Amino acid sequence: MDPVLIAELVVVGMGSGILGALFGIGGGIVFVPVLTVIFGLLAGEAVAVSLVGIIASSAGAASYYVGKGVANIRLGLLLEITTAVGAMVGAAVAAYIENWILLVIFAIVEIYSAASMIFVPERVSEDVGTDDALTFSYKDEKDGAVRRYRLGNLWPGTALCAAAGAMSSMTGVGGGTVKVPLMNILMHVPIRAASNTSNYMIGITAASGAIIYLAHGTLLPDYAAAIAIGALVGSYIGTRISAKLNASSMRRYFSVLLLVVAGIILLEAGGYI
Amino acid sequence: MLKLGVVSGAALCALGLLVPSAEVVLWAGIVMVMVTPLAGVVASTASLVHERDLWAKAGIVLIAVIAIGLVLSLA
Repeated sequence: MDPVLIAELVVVGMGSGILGALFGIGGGIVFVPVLTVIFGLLAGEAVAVSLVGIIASSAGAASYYVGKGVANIRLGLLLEITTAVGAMVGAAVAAYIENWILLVIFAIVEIYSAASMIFVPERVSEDVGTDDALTFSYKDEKDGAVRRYRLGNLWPGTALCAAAGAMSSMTGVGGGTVKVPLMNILMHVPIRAASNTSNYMIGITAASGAIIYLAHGTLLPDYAAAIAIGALVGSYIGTRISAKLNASSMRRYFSVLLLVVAGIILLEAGGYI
Repeated sequence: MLKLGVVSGAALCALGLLVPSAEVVLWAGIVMVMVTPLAGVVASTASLVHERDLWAKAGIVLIAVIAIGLVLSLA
């Protein structure tokens, strides 16, 4: 493979890795359009390569935050159950629904989530009293304080993750952009813990999908390898940047990201990209 | 485990890209990156089971769901 092409792919991977580590998104919203429009891959090839990049990005960030206790593995394992089931159902149903309808619905969800994160204050209760199975804590890197929180609306949130998984598999976009607001707004998980738990979950979802593409021979190894290297490096950079952001800034930047994602999705729905 | 798996995988990927004849190394790196999160689920679940943590059940169910999903998809 041409060294210049490898370098370009590494840079794309790095950019997405930084975004993924900061906000708990996979980066498919960056990878897939860039790989198809700029690098000329077919849609299936782009998705396969994108999944490997997403794995590298999420695993890189998750390995850092799991070690520090910020990513909530327990919650991630639970939510991933319904996400995975939703994704399987979504993949089966997607063939019967017009893609533009799915994308418009997805964009509406993203805009609603962005508005909620802007106008609805974070409802994380740190006065959680005694410990129980729903109480967790982590050390905030920004100020060194130990933050405790108690999960709320566990079962509604878990059920809604099925919808997130279905929408993600039907549109190929944005599991993290749905799950992070879901955890933060509905389940009362602090934004930093929510984004890093999402990072942990996204890798699992992407790994399952990537194995299937590998088995079907759709994966381009050179592209996947270069993207993965860049995404891993980017994820480490992103974790260092994230440590300097406070929670309110993260929510604000995440809201902007959601609106950008919604715009890209609407452009895709209209056939412009 | 996440860090070891993804860093090792990326290193093999880099080696595979640098040495064009080492396609096996390239594929080994990609596969290692891909299975790392799933290995992490197994390791996390095993740890929770060992600690008799209530949340271990979630890990066990998730492993079953992933396994069923992969079998159905690959069949």
